[in-house]
Amino acid sequence: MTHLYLIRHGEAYSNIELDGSGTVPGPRGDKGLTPRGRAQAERLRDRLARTGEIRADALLASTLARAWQTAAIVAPALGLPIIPDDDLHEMRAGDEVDGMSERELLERYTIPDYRATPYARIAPDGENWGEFILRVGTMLDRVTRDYPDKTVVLVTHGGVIDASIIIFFQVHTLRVPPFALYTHNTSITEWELEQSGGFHEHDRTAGQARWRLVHYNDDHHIRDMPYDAEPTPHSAAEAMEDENS
Amino acid sequence: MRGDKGLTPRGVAQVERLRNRLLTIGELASDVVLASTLARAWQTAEILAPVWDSPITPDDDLHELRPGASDGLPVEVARERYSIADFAEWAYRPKSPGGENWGQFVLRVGTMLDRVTRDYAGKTVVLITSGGVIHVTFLAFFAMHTLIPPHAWFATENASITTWEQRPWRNQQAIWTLLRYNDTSHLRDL
Repeated sequence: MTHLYLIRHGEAYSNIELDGSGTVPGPRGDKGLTPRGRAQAERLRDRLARTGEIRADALLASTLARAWQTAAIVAPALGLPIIPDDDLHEMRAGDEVDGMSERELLERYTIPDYRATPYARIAPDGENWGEFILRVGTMLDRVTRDYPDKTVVLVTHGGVIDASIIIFFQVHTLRVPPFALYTHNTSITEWELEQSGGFHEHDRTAGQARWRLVHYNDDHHIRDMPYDAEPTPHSAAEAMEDENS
Repeated sequence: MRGDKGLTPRGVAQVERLRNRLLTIGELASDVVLASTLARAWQTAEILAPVWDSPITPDDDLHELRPGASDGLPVEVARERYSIADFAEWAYRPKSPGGENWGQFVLRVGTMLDRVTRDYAGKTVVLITSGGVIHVTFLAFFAMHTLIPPHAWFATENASITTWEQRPWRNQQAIWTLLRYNDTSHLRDL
C-alpha cells in the first residue's frame, strides 16, 4: 500500500503580509517562515519524533523557502534526506513578477478572479488554474509510480493539497470547484492507495487501485497555539490572491 | 432498522474518549445536536449527551444507506441471497428489495443537508451519524457526480469528527469549506 502524507509549510511572511508590504513569494521572493511558522514546524517535528506515526521511505519538498525551511526542521524526526522537487511548488505567479513588491504587482498587473476566469494568469509566464492542476496531477502520478508500496512525505503548499483532493476525487480540473479548503500551516493530509477488495468476488472493481483520503488537515500538534490569521476559506486560487494582495 | 446490534465495548470506549475530549476542550460548542436513530448512532449520542446543554433530536434522514429486505440477516446469508454483483452497477440497484440504491441514498442525504442548513442558518450543528452519510457530505459539497460512487474513497473511523463550515465568500454566494476530515486525535493510543 502506498501512503502519501502532504504537509503544508509553516506560517510564512507571505501568509501575514497582506497589507501590500510583502513580495510575490516565488523562488526569488519567498521570505520564508515567520518565528511562529518555525515554532509550528518544531511542534510537528516533536510530534512525529514522539509518536513515530509516519514511517517514511522518502521526504520530498518544494524548493520555495517556506516549504524548504519547514522540511529542514521536520526532517530529523523522519531521519531522511530532503529531495528537492520543483513540482511541489504553489501555483506559479510567473518569473516576471517573482519577488516584486505586492504594491507594484497590484499597480501593474490584474489579479484574476480564478472562479470567474480560470484560464487567466497574472503574468504571461505564470500558470493558470488548469496548468497548475495538471502539473500537480502529473507530479502525483510520477511520485506514485516512483515509490510503489512506499510511504512518501511531501512538504508543500495549500494549493497543492487542494489539488490532491480535486485530482483523486476526479473533480472538474479546468474550473475552480465550488467549495473551499482551509489547510492549516504544518497540518498533515494523508492518502493511501489501496487495492480494492471489491464487494463481491465478481466485483469488477476488485483488484483495482483506489485512493482513500485518510485524514485532512490534521493539526492537533498546534491546536493550542495562537493562530492569528483569520481562518478564511482557502484554495490555490485564493492563496494566490491572498499571497499576492 | 432491525439489524443494528449497537456498539461493541470498544465502540463505547471510543465514544467515551470523544466525550472526554469534547468536555475537556469545549471545542464543539453546539446549538443543535441531531442523531440518527439507528442503534449504533443513537447509543453514541447518548454517551455524548453530557457534552451539550441542548437535547438530542432524532432524525431518520441521518441513517446509513438503507439495505432493504436484507436488514437483520446475517451478512453472509444476505450476500448469498441478494448478491450485489458490481459496485459500478450498485448505483442503480438496492442492496436488497425495498432498500435504497446509491442515487437515492445520496439524494436523501443531500436533501437532509439542505434542510438542516436552512433550518439552522448561522448555527453550529452536530450530526451523529454513519460513515456513508459523512462520505456523501463530500459528494454534496464538492458538487461531485451523485449517481456513481466516487473514484477515491474514504477511511472514516468510528467516533471521528469531520467539520464543514459554510460562510459567505467575498461577494459570492456562501460556499462550503472542509475544515477537518476524520479527526481521531482522541483515539490515537486506543
